[in-house]
Amino acid sequence: MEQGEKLRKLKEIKRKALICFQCGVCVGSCPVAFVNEKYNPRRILRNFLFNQSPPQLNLSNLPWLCLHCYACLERCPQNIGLSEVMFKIQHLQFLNGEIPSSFLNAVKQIIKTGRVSPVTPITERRREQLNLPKIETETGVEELKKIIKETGLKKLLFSQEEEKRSG
Amino acid sequence: METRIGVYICHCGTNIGGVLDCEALAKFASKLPNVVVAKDYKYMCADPGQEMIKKDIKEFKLNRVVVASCSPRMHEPTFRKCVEEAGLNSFFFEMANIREQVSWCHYDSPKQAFDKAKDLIKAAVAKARLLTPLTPLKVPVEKRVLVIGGGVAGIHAALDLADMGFKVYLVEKEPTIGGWMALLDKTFPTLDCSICILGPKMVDVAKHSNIELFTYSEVLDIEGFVGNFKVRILKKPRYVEVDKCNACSECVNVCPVEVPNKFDGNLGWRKAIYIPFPQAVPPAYLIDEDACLGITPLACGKCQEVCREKGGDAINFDMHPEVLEVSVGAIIVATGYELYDPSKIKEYGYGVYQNVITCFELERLINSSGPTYGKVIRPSDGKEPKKVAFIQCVGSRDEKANVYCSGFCCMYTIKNAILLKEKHPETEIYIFYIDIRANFKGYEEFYRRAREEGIIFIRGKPAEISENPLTKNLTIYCEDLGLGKVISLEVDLVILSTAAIPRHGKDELARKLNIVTGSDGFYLEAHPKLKPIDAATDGVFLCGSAQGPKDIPYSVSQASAAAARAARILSKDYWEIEPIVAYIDESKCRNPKTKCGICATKCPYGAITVEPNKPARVEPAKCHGCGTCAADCPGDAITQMHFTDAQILSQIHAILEENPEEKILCFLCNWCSYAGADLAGTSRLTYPPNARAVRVMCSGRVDKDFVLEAFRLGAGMVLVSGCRLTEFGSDCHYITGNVNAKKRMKIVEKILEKAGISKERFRLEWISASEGDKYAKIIKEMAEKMKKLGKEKIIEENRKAEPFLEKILKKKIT
Repeated sequence: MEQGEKLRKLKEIKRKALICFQCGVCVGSCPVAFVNEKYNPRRILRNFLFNQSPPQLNLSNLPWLCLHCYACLERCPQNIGLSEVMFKIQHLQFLNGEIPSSFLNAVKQIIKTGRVSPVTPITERRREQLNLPKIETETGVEELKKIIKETGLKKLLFSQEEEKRSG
Repeated sequence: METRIGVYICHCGTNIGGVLDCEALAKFASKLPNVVVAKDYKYMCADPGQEMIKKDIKEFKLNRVVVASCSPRMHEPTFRKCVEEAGLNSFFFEMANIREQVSWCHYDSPKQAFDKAKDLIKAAVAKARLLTPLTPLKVPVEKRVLVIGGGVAGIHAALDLADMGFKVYLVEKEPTIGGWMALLDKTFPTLDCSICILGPKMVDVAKHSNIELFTYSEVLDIEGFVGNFKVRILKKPRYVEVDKCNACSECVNVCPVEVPNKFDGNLGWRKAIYIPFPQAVPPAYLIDEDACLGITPLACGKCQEVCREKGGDAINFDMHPEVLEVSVGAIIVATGYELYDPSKIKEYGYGVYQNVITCFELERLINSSGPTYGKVIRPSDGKEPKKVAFIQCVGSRDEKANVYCSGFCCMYTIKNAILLKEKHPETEIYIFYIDIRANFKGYEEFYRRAREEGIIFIRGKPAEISENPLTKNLTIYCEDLGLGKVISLEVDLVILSTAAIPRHGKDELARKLNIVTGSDGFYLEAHPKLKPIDAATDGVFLCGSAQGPKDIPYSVSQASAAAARAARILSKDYWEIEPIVAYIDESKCRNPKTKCGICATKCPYGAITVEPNKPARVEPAKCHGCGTCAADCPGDAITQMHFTDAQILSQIHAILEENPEEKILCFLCNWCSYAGADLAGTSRLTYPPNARAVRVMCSGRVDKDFVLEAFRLGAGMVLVSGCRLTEFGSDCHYITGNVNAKKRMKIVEKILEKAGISKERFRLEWISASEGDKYAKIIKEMAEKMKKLGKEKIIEENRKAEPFLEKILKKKIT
């Protein structure tokens, strides 16, 4: 089933890659490309023209840099919508286990504590100094865990952990 | 008179004879009612075969002829001519297609093929019994022509026709002819001066004894049909008498009002009394009513005073709008194009940044009779630009604006870039493009010349432009695809190559002419390959950019083609029309009582007029014979000649007389689906022999009742198929026949559901003439489904549905 899901995503991305006539307006409009020359969303999409089967994408962390500001969709003359494509690529990479560790850590942190970054003793001390109330630990974590389980995210994360351990 | 039918079975060598027993078929035919003689022969279409028919017509006093041979799309005209030569009306002929749709596609099952051939012959004989004589309609032809639009295309069409000796009325909305071309500086790829080559042609138009020129005029309305159009033209008042004005320009000096001049792209100014440009034809001034201080009552009148002082008396404030009526035999539409408003694309800042201009504005700046007398300057400070960028595809090749490519922008941009470079070689010029389209004679060479002259081409669509508020310089941000890097380039002047778009008001004119526009908004030709000049309405022709963006050579070629197509009609005294048109039985028409008018809304050609309290009326000369109105008439008051309800029902009855539950009845349109079925045979694709085709001119002709009657008679399956209909458009030869068929068949599906007929037993498909394989595939699928359902279930469903269908069809079954 996972393989079928991968193929379907790949096909959707490829369809967009086929329509793109390579004008580059997306790259010129992209705030990420403006500061990071390595990030070229047009070229990321173009690579999918030649991917025939679910590959190890080896795109490194680049697709995860997309800010989803939608400037590219706003100006794309072929209505390709690279923001949406980047979501699909991220999904595909996720299924392949190609997730930036910082992103994975953030997700785990959320599952564990309900927060993106951990509450450290330094944070607590600082809050005390500023007369801010103490942070209650584990707010709504149980509910969050339920959601993550129901949506299947937990299973996905777990199985990847397994794979990494065995491989 | 007694109906006496002769039936002729053709062997077509072994093409038919090798699969079917033609002698046995002739024997079968001879026993059908009203058949007097039935014979088989090796080649019916050859001279001896035709002679045999002619002889038999005399000998046996035949008054109907049926030939069972190839497709009627192949030899119907041959045999029609044959019976006509023997003294019969050519419409007393019917064909049974036992080659393309029997022997060529069912050679693997000769026994079932034989049964199918019998059914098709029986159906043809049944229809032959009900045939009526028809004579081609003849309409007289007015030997005059109307040309709408006086641009380069309209001018050429008018001159060609006038030279052939036809009277031409040329109507132009603006005060001068010449169109866009008269405002250009040079033309690509030869760089000859635009007005120098067009100007003499404009003068020719004015001087030609066969051309009557109506400038500053519009077409009010058009009535009639091919050969006989009545056109009313509105002539707006110029307040200057053209014959008396000698264009001395004294009036301009005294006029106190100044307004932007649209002929200069609003970059320059003109007075309220003005001439569009020095070479205008007619060479006379006019007063802009909206700009003038007042005409009634007269507020200023200085122009008139000075004109009289100088000895002229050209200015006449008592002019009024005039309406003139002309009769013409054909109409040429050459209304041209407009330019896209680039202010809609916010990121380029047109209308906000002063130094972002359009290609047309540059064209006027570079032109020596333009507002700057040929000096290209920045609008912000009047300085000459040192660094210039052109941006291509502004509003074209863009799903958000216009999907199509405007075609000529690449070339005029290259032209303007070369002109700029030649005037000021030190200017840096950049062209931002997606693809360069340089696909006609000398164009690619011209593109190379531009690169050789130092113009820099950057592949990439600019993302945005920003302005330095102090210097008013512009910075372009764009990915250079060659480098794969985002670049920012500061320039003095940006020129946007805007898309060519259809004229404002094109829909209004389309309504008056009863022609249609395509998905791009330009006027649509009758057929993209074989009738590229004809509009959907007979006698109306298209040329120039009204039909789609095109450059000067292409427009001129099309104009000459349109002139030739129009002359094809104008050169005749009478124009013949196929008589398979619609006919309205006034006593049955419900319009006088119920204000029905459905037929008029269905007709794609506006051939039906519906007035209150009167029966609907068909103009035969406008009717193309699709039969959609006949199928949709709720009172069954409309008959399509040669495809009458009775004739088609008789075919259905004949086909479904025996074992109907085993048969697939197919209603196929003549132009696409029937041709597709023929192609399956020509390609020797085999498919199950249960399919029986009934040919109609258009899927729009297929009445609800035909399908219901087929099921009432116990048909196993029914297929209705027409020309391709997709989200991108329709290939229908009658514009919207298949669209109407689709709407109607949705209702049929609901009725069948109520009647308890399984959904899969009725199918609506779009099969083109090239999709023989698709036809074969669909019949295979339907035959399989029919097998799956089983004979018993089909018979059971039909038995249960019969009373319900009978109730609906009450009036039809007699």
